[in-house]
Amino acid sequence: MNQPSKLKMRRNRFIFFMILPAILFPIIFTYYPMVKGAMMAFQSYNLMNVKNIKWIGLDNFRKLFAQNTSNNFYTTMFNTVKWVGISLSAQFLVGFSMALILKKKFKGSSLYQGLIFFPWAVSGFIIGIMWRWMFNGTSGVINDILMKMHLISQPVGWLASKNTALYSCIAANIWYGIPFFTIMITAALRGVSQDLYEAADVDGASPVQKFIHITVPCIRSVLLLTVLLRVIWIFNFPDLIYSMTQGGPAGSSHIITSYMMQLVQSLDYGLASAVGVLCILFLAMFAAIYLAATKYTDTEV
Amino acid sequence: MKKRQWTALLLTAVMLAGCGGGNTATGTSGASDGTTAAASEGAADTSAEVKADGEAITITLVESLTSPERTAVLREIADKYQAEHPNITIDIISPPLENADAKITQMLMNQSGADIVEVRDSTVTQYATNDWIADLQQYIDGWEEKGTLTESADEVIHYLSDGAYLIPYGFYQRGLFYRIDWFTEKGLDQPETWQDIYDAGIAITDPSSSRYGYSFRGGTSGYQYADTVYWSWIGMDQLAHPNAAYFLKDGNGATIFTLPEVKEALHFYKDLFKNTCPLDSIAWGFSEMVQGFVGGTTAMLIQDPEVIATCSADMQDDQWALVPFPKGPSGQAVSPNGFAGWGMTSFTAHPEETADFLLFLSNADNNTYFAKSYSTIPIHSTAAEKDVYFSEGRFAMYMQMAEDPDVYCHAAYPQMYEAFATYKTEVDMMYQKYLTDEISDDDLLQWLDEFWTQAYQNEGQKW
Repeated sequence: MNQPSKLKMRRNRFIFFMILPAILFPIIFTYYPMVKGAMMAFQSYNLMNVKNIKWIGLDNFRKLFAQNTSNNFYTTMFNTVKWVGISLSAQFLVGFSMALILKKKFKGSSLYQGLIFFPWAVSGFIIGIMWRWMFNGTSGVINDILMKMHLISQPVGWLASKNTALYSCIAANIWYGIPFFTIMITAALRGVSQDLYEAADVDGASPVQKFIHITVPCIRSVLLLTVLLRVIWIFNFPDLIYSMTQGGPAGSSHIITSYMMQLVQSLDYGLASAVGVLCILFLAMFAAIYLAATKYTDTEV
Repeated sequence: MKKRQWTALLLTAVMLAGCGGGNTATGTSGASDGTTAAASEGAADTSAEVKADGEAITITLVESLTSPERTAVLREIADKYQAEHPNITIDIISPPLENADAKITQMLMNQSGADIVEVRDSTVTQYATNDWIADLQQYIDGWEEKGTLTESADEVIHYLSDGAYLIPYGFYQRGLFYRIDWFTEKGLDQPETWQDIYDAGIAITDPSSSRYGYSFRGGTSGYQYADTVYWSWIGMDQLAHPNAAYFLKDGNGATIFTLPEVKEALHFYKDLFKNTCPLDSIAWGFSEMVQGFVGGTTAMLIQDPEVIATCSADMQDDQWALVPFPKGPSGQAVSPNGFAGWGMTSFTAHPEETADFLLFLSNADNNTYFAKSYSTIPIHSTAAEKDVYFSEGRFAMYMQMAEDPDVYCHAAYPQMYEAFATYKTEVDMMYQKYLTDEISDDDLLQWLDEFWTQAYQNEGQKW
């Protein structure tokens, strides 16, 4: 009687120790910092005076939503919606189109694929600096080309005008994010069985019908996941804005995450943390609603 | 089954939201390093080896404004010291410039890993308030070289009234660079006042040929230039203290932003921007300003001595000239005297030896050599005698300015206030709103006045 239960105990202990790292690592490296960081949101945590840290409840959040001249938070939130919405749509459409082109392997397609992937491999900051000089009002390449094409008569200060600063950053972001969609969707498209298309040809389906009724449903789960990931990643991607405009001019190109970076530099960790908490709440809610609404978990392959 | 699905869903959502995603270079050098500072219990890079007294000692020095050339100079000076003191080893840690301050903050919070740190005008208040750097007064009292320190150096040593927290290694004094060839073309004289700059700017500005008068700094730290214009308009007499130049003398916290001269100066500043500067200079930072001048877009530039090297490299000698800072209607030319220096940590294991090396680094010979290599104003008045570099050539102009302290004065924004950290991140945006006509001059001045009146109420008089 003793033998089997001792064996079972040893086995259970073995399993426990094997699983332990998988439990400990997320707790130490993800959840503990998240909780500690979130706690800062409710404190007056300012690095200028670490002896003066105390609990202040929701004051940081109230500061964020206060209505005064120097508070840009509402503009920032609206900018974030524009940033994510426009970047995502453009990246998706262009990426999808390129994926359709790459669907069939042609001569040089692997080289072409490598070249398309190039923007994704470079750091966001460097890309930001590159685009910043391209958009430069006096010596930038973009003004030069547009003037030579007679589309504008005078150089435009792209990053200097409140009307165009954010959209210039969005343009750079679109260029940056296309490769990811292209690669993911190409891989998914290549996984669609040719038999389905042949059967559709037999029934006399047009290309558009084939696209809507075969292609899209088959890669639906990849599309949904890619879009969700990209929404979250674009939301969390302040690198371009930081290096192109630092959120200027006059705070017109700030998004929530670049604003948070600025707050960290001003050493007000409490306020920065409050912004961070709002980000996480929003993204978690968004992800939950998205997955439920698209019935992602019910998708059949 | 449903409940488990929802829990898994929610956990996934939270994890996805938590992770930053593929390419947000979490180096995000400059900012996010700070976010890990408080959360992590990071280990320091090297620790001062504590051995028995008289035995081998290691002193660790951490730089902030790192550059490979400067690190080499520091290494030279450290090697000299090591030769004279065989039992002491100097370790120099040089983090990359973008996140060096955050790294130093981390080390200071951990109370280990550094004996000497580079203290800047923007960080001295933070370090001193948190008791991270030590009072050096006792060591300075016994220093034989303290007699030759310049007045500016003395001011900086006692920047915070409750102690001597750093010994500066140099000053970043701005001067006026201008395109002497363009001026001669238009028959203009050397600009000596702000009004001269404006008039010359109007004469030179020609958008169709891409020529503008002045390199405007509308981006980060642009407010510093607006400040110099205010001070040059109102003069030094009304200022409470050169280091707290936003406040009025005997004003109990009243600010300069209520003076009519400041409003005038602000209008001048906006006119300068609108009529003599390229439109996108609203977002120009250091590199764009310099590029604008060196690249042939603007005719005038106000900047630090480090630009001398860039101009010499990229332009012909007869194309540009360096002249003293412009004066305002008050007859004075007032500019901030940016500084940085060396401080000793409060937790160092070897205060005597560390202070000794710190003073060695700051003595007349070493400091003059350092200042020459690094293009800063040295801290000893004997520098010009020690090296021709400081008495002739382009750099001599700065020494000339130093010899006329009634005209060429220094004033600075009140960096000793904790509120300054918040101010620094909001003020440039407010100026940009004013320059782009989003808010009025009264709005801006009111915001400035309220901000600093509030800071004075919260933190008291700190000069």
